Amino acid sequence: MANNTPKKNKAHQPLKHRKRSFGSWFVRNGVLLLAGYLFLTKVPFINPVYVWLRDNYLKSNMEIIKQYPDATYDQKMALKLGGDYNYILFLRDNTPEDAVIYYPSGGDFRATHPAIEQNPFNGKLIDKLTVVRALYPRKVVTEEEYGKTSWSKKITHVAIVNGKNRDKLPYPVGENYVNGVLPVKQPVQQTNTPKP
Amino acid sequence: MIAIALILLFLAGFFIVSLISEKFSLTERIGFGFPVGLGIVTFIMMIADWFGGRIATTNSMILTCIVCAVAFTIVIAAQKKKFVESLVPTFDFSWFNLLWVLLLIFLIWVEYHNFAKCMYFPTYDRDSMAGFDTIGYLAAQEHTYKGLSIFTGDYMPRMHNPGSCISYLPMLQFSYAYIYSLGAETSKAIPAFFYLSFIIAFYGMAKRTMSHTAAMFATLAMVFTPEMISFSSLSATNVMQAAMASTGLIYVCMWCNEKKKELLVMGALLLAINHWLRAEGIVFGCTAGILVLLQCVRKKAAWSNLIIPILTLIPTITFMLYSASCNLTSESAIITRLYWDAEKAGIIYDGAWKLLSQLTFYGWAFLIMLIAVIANGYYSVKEKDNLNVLLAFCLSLILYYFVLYHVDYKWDSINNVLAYSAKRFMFCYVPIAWYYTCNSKIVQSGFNWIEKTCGLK
Repeated sequence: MANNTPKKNKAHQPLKHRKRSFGSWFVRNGVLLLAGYLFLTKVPFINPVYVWLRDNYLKSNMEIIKQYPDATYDQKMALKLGGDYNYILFLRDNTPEDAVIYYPSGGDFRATHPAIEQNPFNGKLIDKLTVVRALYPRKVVTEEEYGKTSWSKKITHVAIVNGKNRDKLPYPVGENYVNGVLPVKQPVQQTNTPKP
Repeated sequence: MIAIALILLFLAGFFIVSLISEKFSLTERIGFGFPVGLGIVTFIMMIADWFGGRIATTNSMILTCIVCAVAFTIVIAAQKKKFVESLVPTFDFSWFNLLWVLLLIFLIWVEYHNFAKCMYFPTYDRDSMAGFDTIGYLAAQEHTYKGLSIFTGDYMPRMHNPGSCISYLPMLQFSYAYIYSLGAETSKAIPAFFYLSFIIAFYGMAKRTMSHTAAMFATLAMVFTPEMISFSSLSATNVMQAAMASTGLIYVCMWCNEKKKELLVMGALLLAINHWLRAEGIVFGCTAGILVLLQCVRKKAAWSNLIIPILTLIPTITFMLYSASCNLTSESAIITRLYWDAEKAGIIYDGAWKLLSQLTFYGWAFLIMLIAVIANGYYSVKEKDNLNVLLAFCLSLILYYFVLYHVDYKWDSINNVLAYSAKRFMFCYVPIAWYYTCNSKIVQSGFNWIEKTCGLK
């Protein structure tokens, strides 16, 4: 029976009309406000995840926004994705728009190189789909597609990270070339390591 | 251009919601305007793409203008003066108290920070970069969805593998294609305005069955859910699905109580958008169907009502036809036969229990709901208070894990899915949990007392 009764009636039972002075309303609401404020600022935060939410998620991000209000799209992406995104920018800036790029594998990004103390990559951009947009309209070919797809036969540039993939080029590349991108045909110059 | 398009999308949705009924409050219409407009426009975009239409600036704007104009014309023709009258807000501040103001201030503070973060950072989450956002961007660049270069097997050999993004329902991808086609640098306006709209809509919806202060508390509690709010500023579908699935289901529950047609139609529209967002959203459509069926059997509601939840499948069926005809399919990962795998069932049960019982991802939501269920037990039994909402919650939860059980995890392990993906699936239950809690009689009476004691009259 009650289930068919509109809940509105339950929620909005007619309030008894009583003449109440502004002072009375003010005092009651002052107490309510104080209790509400204490409740809202104390009780949820018994659970530490709410402290994280307030301090790390809401406040910290706002601080970054205030710190870099005029950051460009690429700067914001680099802020979140670190060295990997800077490397993508390097690839984009050093290849023509019609380039077909051999893109390093996850293993290449995670590899270590004796010339570099700390690997500058964090592995956030190891999937092909995650870099397709940033490199568009360039085409991307991955290790597993190498030699199997028609695009892999049209590779114009090889991306090198942690010294890996130098062997994909038809000419010798010096061992000091650690991170960068080189054309398959006639290297005009070997652009050296970008600064992730 | 982008601002105009967003306003037109909002107006299109506003008129469509008004068309369902002029009785929806302004808050509801304002809140649901943008999601509904976006859902309808992107659905038509897919149809246009199917028949060779180009995804381009002019086409996007013309389409939005047409949808907006048609919705406006129909609503004016159908409702005439009633529509105009319904735009005039009613002023009754007898309930007004400073706790409501305080809750509103907290809500604005939280959402301001969240909205700013969402708009400031471009798409950087892995799932969106490897799917939704990239597909949307490329669709705008290549002026097509069905003919995308990344959908060709030669360029992306793994695109037709199980679990591939090619088979994702494309509402969000079309949304991003829409905004990119208008020249946007990032697609973040879509999730930002979607979530903002959801907050307004949730409050408007909750206010139908509970007091203003309770509705505001439920809204703040729902928004201040750690994992859900942090995902709301990303570009994935989960929070958007949560918004549509939860509100859709709650409207259906309201219909079960009140039998007002507009509530069922509204619930179905929102559930259809939920289906348009994610394939597994179908569990909410099924739940709605079962709820309506129960009303037909037990409460002698008209059997014709069953057609409405069935109609929510239109986006899913249309997409299946579209993807089949355009070769946008991937290897199926669904086990279609009934089977029993005790080990898998045990893993899923443990995973579900761990998710629902921990307090990190969803904060207090499920614990408080459990307390409310126990505390409200007397009224639940005696007056069937809130039983439909509780039933909807439990039924859809069981169906969700049943779907997970029937997925053949060829591309990932069930343990990984439960540990990393399933936590996002549970977002749909957070708004329902807070709605249930604040709508239960025992909590309501507390808020009613506050409004009676501290209201203006």
